[in-house]
Amino acid sequence: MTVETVPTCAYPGCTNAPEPPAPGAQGPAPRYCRHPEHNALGAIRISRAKRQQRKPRFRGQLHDPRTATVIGRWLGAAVLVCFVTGVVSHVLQEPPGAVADRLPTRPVWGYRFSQGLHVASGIAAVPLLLAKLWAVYPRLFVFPPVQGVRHALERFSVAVLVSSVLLELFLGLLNIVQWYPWPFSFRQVHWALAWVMVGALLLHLAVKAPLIAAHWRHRSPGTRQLPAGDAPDRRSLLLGVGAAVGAVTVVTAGQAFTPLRPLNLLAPRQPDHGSQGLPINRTAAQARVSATAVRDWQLRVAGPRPYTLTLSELARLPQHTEELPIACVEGWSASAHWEGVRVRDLLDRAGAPHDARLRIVSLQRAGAYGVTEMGASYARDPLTLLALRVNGRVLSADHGYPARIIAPNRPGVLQTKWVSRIEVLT
Amino acid sequence: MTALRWTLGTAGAVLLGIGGWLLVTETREDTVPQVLLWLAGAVAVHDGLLVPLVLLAGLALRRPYHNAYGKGDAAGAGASSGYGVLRGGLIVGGCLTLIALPLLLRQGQGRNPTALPLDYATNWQLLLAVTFAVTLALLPVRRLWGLARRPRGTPRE
Repeated sequence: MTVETVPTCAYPGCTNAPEPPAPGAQGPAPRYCRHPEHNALGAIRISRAKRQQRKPRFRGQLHDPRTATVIGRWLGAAVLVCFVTGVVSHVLQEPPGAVADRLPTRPVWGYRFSQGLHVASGIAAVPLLLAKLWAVYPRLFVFPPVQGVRHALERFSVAVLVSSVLLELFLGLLNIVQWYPWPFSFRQVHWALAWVMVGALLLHLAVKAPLIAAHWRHRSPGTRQLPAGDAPDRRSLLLGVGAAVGAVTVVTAGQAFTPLRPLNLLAPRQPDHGSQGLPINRTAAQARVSATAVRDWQLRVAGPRPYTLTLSELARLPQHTEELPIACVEGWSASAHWEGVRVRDLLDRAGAPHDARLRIVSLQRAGAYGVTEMGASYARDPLTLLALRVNGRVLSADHGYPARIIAPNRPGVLQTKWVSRIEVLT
Repeated sequence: MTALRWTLGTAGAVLLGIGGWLLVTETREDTVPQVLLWLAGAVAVHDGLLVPLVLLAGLALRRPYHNAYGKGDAAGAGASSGYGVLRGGLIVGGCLTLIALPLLLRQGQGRNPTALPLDYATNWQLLLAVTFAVTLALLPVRRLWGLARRPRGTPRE
């Protein structure tokens, strides 16, 4: 016995039999019943309406443009500060040829300040970014997902913005703990994505300008159209987010900002924690600088009148003591008293011209920055030393014994340790 | 306004172009697909995991809290019931945890003894305890203040 399946109308939910084919008609039999709305167009319309009902609904409050505008202002400020200080760091670390000899050496704490701010603003941006994205999260489910070319472009630019800010903060947060679980170069990608991020941000501001303006103040026209009852709740949310920004800043900024050092609970570095009272980025062992390499050490200065000095000869030259910060690209910094010979004096002895750039070669055999260049403004600065002692004691192996460079307003990676050779470039 | 928008938009497009160009020309050849993958991954983890968890937490807390302690007055929309204080405490604790996570995961694996020198697990627990204590101390303060600010004649729930 077979069950005969009776065909029914293809309109969702309709159980009527389809219209009988018109006598003598060619082609497939009709799929819909006689009901005037039961046709292909109606079926599409109703299934779209059903999909619309299935999309998530957000009944919670504060997913509104006013909340997004207020948090967005703070986030935008943090991102821009982070970007500008990042560009400063990049220029100081890899100066373009045109400015390499003219980089400012004052204030001596300039890089300490800007890089401390870079990391602090990045950390402060974390709660702001999460709150901002929470506020606009329902926009992810707009229906239909694409409403024309303009809308598609706008959504694409938002996707670029959101993904680049998320990844930039993630990369930065892991870089400060020296953790690199990704396959690409941190420095190159962090630098390139920063421009993508800021470009997408400006584009976003341009697109959203009317919406932002309409919600800029609590009396702006757009804000007034929102339920007035939400205002106290919004204020309380903003206070909570502000408290989170304050909390993450206060427990990490002590790695650069001395007054907050007692509260330095979640920073990757404690500035007074290390040999001779200073942290170390690369130890002698990591750089593969052996005791034998250092034993018969001599400083070679290559220039118009090249010469070689032993350590005792170097120590007999006029010594100067300067208080200068060592400031790492990873955000920590600490001030120390450095004692040694002025690089300027070494250059004069070699007959180097005043505008000469230097190449500084380290004994270091592993890791980057074993050979660095120093522009004329640093080389001629009276505060730039080839230091032999720090905080009253001979440099330890990890701090660059027998001699290291220390210059004002300069990234830590360029303060070359274990210096063996200074070349005058002409 | 229109001129400003066009200037901003053009500047944005130019900077975006510079970024894309840097990404393509100044990196190793296999970098671009890797970065695209990580960008997508960042969005997937955030939009697909972190936000739903936060929304669920809000959903699970808000209704029971209001049932137990009242919704505050009509205009307060929950703020004066003290729910905002609870939410603020959770935001602070959550953000501190997020910042602490890389340190907790890398504890003891610093490249030298001066990297990651602190006891981060203890510090993190201490900070969560402080956050909890401050939240607990602020809750009754906020509730009483909310009640005191209630306009005369408003029914008490």
